[in-house]
Amino acid sequence: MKGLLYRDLCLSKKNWLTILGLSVGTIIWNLLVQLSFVCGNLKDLMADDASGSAKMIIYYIGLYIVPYFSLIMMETLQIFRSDFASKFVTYRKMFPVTAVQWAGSQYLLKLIFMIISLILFTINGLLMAHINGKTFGIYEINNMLLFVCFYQIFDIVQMAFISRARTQKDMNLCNVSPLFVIVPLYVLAYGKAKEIGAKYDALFPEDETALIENADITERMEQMKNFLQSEIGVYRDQIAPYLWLIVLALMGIGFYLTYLGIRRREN
Amino acid sequence: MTDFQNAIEIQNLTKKYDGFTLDHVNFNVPKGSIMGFIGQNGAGKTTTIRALLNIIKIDEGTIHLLGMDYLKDEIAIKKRISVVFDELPFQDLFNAQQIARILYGIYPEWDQQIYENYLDRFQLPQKKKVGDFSKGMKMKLQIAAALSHHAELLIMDEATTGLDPVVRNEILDIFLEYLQDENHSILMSSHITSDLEKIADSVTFIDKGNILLSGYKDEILENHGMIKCSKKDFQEIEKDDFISARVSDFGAEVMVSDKSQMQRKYSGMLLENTSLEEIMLFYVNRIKKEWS
Repeated sequence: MKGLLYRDLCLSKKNWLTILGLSVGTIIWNLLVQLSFVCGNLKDLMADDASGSAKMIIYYIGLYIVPYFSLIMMETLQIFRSDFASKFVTYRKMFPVTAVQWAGSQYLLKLIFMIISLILFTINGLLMAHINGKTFGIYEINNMLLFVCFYQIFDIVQMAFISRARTQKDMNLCNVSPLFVIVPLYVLAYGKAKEIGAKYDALFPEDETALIENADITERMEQMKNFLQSEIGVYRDQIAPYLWLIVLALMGIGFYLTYLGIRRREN
Repeated sequence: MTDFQNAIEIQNLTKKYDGFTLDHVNFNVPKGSIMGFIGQNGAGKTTTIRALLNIIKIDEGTIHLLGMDYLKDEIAIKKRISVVFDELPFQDLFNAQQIARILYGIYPEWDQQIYENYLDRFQLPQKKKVGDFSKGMKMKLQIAAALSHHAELLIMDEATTGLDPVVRNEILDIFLEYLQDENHSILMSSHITSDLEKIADSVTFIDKGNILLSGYKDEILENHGMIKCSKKDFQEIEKDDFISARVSDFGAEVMVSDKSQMQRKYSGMLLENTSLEEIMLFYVNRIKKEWS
């Protein structure tokens, strides 16, 4: 399996080196922006922004943009594409390697990249929280794990497509697989969002919502955050203790699908 | 370690496809020998080799490699054999060094020193991407990799096809060196019969999924012969006495499978030695019997 892992690492080298560079670059950029808010040009520029809303928005974007980038490292579609083109699916049988070992090496690689993503997210979060005097803890880590869960769901759907692929055309069809997650999620979320939106609107009298001023924005954002946390956070908190297990279970499903795909193509 | 007489034993191997059937294929490759597996394109050579490696599922039959069952002991077998296809099984972005690292992690018996010696001998660059290699260089790299983990059996599928005679000769020399160890065996599929004539101990000839001939090369060449005669003399030869005949305006060439008997029966006719290529050609046309 060591040989296969090295092979997969080489095949995805261009991808993960780019993403790793992008993630580290984003962390440095975040750090500089936050430092500028504390003691640089942005501090003077935002002197009028008494509410600090712009700073808060940039803080949250900065916090969650790193996992967004770094999770792409886990992408293995290009390895499958490359194997497909080079007929490695057939040639694999030349070597003393089982289907489980091959699927295992790809999931081990995903696990390594997931851990690297978590480390990058934690470093970024700790730095930003330290500069801004905020806390970074289990709540943020759980949010990151939620990102991973969603990513895994996309991955499983993609794996189902890859497993069925027999021709190059089928392989190209894998590109549309995210739609099979996005569309149902959109349909589900649309109804829920309308319901939550109506509840949120009901918190404020009609005349009051029309007269929101700059100074109220932070307060409103805080209210919205609390409201959303109370509405959505309930579900999140319910699954929070099991997030690691959910991530591993989703990876297990993905691994099994990969294994089935390899066996299917072999037969 | 299992004691075995034949490096490869195939019995009643059958695989049915739409329009093609590998039909009850039987042959053995004795330990310490090199067998040429010949046949025209589409005859079933690659299908047989893929069946040996469990790349395709067979419908019927038994296969033993190095004395072990090809399914039950698949991984143990593959640690002790090497396979060379006509294409490199690694993507173009790898270089020889990286391929060695991959194979080091796959084969427990990987010998880096032997691999580097072969790279030097073949003058293959270690850090150049294989995508920039010529076909001959790619084949040499495959052979270097195949011979660097102390494999006892080398299986090659059209490995020398498309290579120039100089490279082919160089590779054939390496195979002869490899066979110096009496535990080493080679199954070499090819339609370039001249290569096999040089190095093979035995030959198996497959056509349309059926084994037509299998045995020691020298015996096959000794038994087969070519009667060269006029068209008039050809009419005197009984149909059952020959495999097939190439008839032209200038006369007839008739392939016989029992040279000594035919020499006695048709003593007035010129009977010459033949080659594997001609044997293959005349067997392929056996159904037509007479062709031009």
